[in-house]
Amino acid sequence: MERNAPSSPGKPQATCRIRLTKTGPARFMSHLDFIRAVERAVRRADLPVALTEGFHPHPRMSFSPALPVGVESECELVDVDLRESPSVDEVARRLGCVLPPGMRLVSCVVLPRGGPSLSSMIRAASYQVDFARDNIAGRPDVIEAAIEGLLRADAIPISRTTPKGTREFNLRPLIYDLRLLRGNGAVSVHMLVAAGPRGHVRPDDVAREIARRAGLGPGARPARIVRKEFYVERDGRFRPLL
Amino acid sequence: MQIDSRLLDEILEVVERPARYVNGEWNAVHKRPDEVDVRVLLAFPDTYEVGMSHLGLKILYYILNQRDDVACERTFMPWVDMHAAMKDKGIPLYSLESRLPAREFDILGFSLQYELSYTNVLAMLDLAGIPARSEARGADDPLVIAGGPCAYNPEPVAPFFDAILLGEGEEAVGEIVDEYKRARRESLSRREMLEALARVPGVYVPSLYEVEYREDGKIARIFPTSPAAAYPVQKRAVRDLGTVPFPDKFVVPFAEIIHDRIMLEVFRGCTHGCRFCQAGMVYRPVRERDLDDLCELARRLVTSTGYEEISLMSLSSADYSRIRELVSNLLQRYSGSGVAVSLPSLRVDSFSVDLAKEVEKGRKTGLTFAPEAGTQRLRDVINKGVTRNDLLEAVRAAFAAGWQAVKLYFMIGLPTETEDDLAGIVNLAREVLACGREELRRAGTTRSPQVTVSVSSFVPKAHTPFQWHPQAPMEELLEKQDYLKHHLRGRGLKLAWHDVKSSFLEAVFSRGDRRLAAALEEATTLGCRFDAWHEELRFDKWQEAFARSRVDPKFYANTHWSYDDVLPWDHLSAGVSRDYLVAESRRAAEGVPTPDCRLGKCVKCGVCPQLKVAPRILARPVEGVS
Ligand code: SF4
Repeated sequence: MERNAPSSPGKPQATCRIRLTKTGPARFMSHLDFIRAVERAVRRADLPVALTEGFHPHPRMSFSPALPVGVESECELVDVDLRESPSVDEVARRLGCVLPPGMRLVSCVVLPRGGPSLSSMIRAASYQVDFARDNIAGRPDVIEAAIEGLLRADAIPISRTTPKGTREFNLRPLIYDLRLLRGNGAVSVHMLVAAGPRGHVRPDDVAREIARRAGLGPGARPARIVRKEFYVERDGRFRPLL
Repeated sequence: MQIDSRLLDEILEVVERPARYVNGEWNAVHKRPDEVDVRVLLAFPDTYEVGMSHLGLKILYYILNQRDDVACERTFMPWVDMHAAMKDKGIPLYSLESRLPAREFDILGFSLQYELSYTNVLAMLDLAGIPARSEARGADDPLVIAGGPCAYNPEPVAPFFDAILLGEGEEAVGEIVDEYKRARRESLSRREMLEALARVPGVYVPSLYEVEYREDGKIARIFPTSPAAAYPVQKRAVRDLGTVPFPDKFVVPFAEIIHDRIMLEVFRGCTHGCRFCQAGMVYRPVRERDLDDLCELARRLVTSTGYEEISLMSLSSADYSRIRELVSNLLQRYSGSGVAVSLPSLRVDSFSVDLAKEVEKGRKTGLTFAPEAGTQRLRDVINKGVTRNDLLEAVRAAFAAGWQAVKLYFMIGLPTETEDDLAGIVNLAREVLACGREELRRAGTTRSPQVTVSVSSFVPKAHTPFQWHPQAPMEELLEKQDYLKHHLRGRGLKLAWHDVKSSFLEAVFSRGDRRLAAALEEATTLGCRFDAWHEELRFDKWQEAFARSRVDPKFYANTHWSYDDVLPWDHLSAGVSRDYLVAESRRAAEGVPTPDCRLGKCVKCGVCPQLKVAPRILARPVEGVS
C-alpha cells in the first residue's frame, strides 16, 4: 500500500479502541502532549485513519479523561476512527512498534461505527497510590486510619483553582471505595472514584487528602499514582470498559 | 557513574514542564556510553524547547550517532526552577539519553546561536562542575568546544572554549572526533591535542592566539603563538549539500517545542546582500538541494516522525529556484493525509503571497513581511531590494486572498537614519492598513484589517558591511520607539518593540573582545542567566558586572570604528573579503544598491574563490565567479 497516497478524508468505516500505558518518562506528558504523541504514532503506524473535515484535517480520535502530569496509567483509552476495517492483529502489529517508551499497547479492539463514545460510557476509574516508604516509617496504620476517616466523613470539601477562579466542591460522594493494600513492604491504597464528564475526581486530590489526614507534612515525598482501569456502569455494577 | 535517578525523579514531580528533562523521546538514540570510543554531549545553552527546535543540533546529532565509535547525547539549560532544584540537591548537568553527568563525556559541544545565551553557557559549565576557563581545565576534563553563528566573533567567550568551529559542521565534526581519538591514542598533552585540533580546517583554538591592546583601548594586534594556528582561520562550507547526510529521523519530543515539525532545509546561504545581516554574509554561497532529494527526505521524515507539518526552511524559502514544483509535489502527496506544508520566511512580493496562499489554504493566521526601513533612501542604504510598490502589491495580494492580519518588520537605529525614515515607517504602515480596508471591503467582508508593526533595534554584527558602525545609544533608541508609539496609534494598528537593553547587550557582545569574558563571569556570579528571556533579564546586575570587571560596554556598542582599526575578529574569516565589506560599506553611504549574485552574475564578495565553492542554483548558472 502506497504510503500517504492522496485520499479523501472519507467516511469512517470502523473505530479502533486502543488501550495504552502512560508510564515511565511518558507520565510527564501533559494531556495535550499525549494527544499529539498518539496522533503522531498513528501516522507512523500508517493506519487508514479518517480525518476531520476542514482546512486543517487531523485524525479523528477521542480520548479518555485527562491524567494529571506525573500520574501513570495502565489504561489510557483512545478511539481512532478508520476509513477501513483492518484486523485487530494488523492494528496491533503496526502500532505496537511505533510507540515511544512508556506508551505500550495493552490491547485493542475494532468496533463497528456508531457505538457509544468513550465519554458517554466512562463512569469510574480505579487508581493505586503508593506512599513512599520512608514517609510512613513502617506504619501503614496511619494511612489506614486516614482512609477510614475519609470514608466516614459526610463531606470532604476540596477547592480547585482554575483560570476561571477557585471552585469549592464536595469530594465525598464521588469516592466509591478506598482500600489499603499490603504487601512486599509498600503501603498502597486502591481507590475507585468517579470519572468522566458527569463527575470526575483527580486522584492526586484524594492522595493529598489521605496524606494530610495521615499527618504527612507538605515536605513528604509525593506518592506514586497509577491509573489502573476505567469502568462503565451496567446492571448497577461497575465493569471494566476494555 | 549515572546521576541519582531517584532524586532526579523526585524533582521532576515538582518542576514546571518535567517532560523536557526525561529520556526516551521517539527516535532518540540510545547507545551504551561505555562501549564507544568517544562520548559527545551536544549542549544547547537555552531551554529544551528552544534547543530542540534548532536544525543544526538535529543534523549533528544524526551525523555523530551514525558513527559506531561515537555516542552522541543532548543536554539543555534547565529552566530557572529546575536549575535551582538541581543545585539544591547536588544533581549535576546530565545528558538526557543516559543520565550521565556532563563531566563524564569526552567532548562537550555548545551551540552558540545568540550572544544573550552566553551566561547560560557559564551556568551550564558551573552546573556540570567543569572549570569555566579553558586554561583551568586539565586532562580529566572534557574538551569544551563550540560552533554556530556566534563563532564568527566568539572573542567574548573565547577564554571558555578549547576550540571553536567556524562554519558548517557536517564534515568537520567527524574530523574533530578523529583528531581527538588520535590525540588520545598517542597520549598527547592537552596543549598538543589543541594544536592537533587547530590543524583541522575551520577550527579556531583561542588559546593559540594572543591579543595586544593599545593605550586607547583599541586592539593593537592579534597573532598566533603556535605554528599550528592558522591566520586567518577560514570557515568551513559544504560544497554540495547532497553529498553530506541530512537526518531522515528527527527526535520527536514528549513536550511541545517551539518548532514542533519537520524542518526540511531547502537551501543554505542567502545573497540578497542586506548590509546589516550577518546570516546573509556568513552562510554564503547559496547552495540549493536537489528537488528529488527533498521529496525523498520529506517522505522518509513523515514516515519516521509522524509529524503533521513540513516546514520548508532556509533564509528565504521563496528563493528556491524550483519552489513551485517542490510545493505542488509535497501538497499533492500529503494534502490528503493531514500533513501540512509551511513556508516560514517570505519575501516581500506577490509571488511569495501566491505560494503562501497555496500552502496555507484556510489557516490564514497572519503574514509577515520585512521591509526593514521606512524610506526608499534607507532601504537603498541597507541594500534591501524592496520598494513601496513591492510591499503594497504583496499586502494587497495577501488581503485579497483572505488574510486579515499582516505583520511588518522594521529596524530602527540603522546607519544614516533620520526622522524622515521613522515617518516613513508610519506612512507605510498606514498605507498598508488603507490597502487592507479597501481589499477587505471589496471582498465584501465586514472584518477589518490588522497591521502589526514590529520594531527591532539595529545591532552591528561582525563580518557585515555595517560592522564598523555603532549602535545608537539606548536613549536615542527609546526616543525613536516613543516616536513610533506616538504616531502608530489607532484602529487596526499595533506596535511591538524589542527591549533596548537586550539589544544593547547584544551589540556589546557581538562586537566584543576577550576583555568581556570577565564581565560574563561576573554577571553569571551575580545570577544573570536566560538574558534572552525578557522577564529574566537583570540589567542592573549587568551594569554592576561591567563596573566590577572595569569594561565600558559603550566602547563596544556605541563607538564608531574606522576601517584602519584592528577588529576583534580579524583573525577569523567567513570567506567574504574585507575589501568587499569596505566597498559595500561605502556603497551604503552613497545609497547604491548591489544586486544578488543568484540572479546570474557574481558580484565578487570573495567567498567562492576563497573556499573553492560555487553557488548552486538548480535553475541557472552564476557567471563570473573567479
Ligand atoms: S563570490 Fe560571487 S558568486 Fe560567490 S557568493 Fe560571492 S558574489 Fe556570489
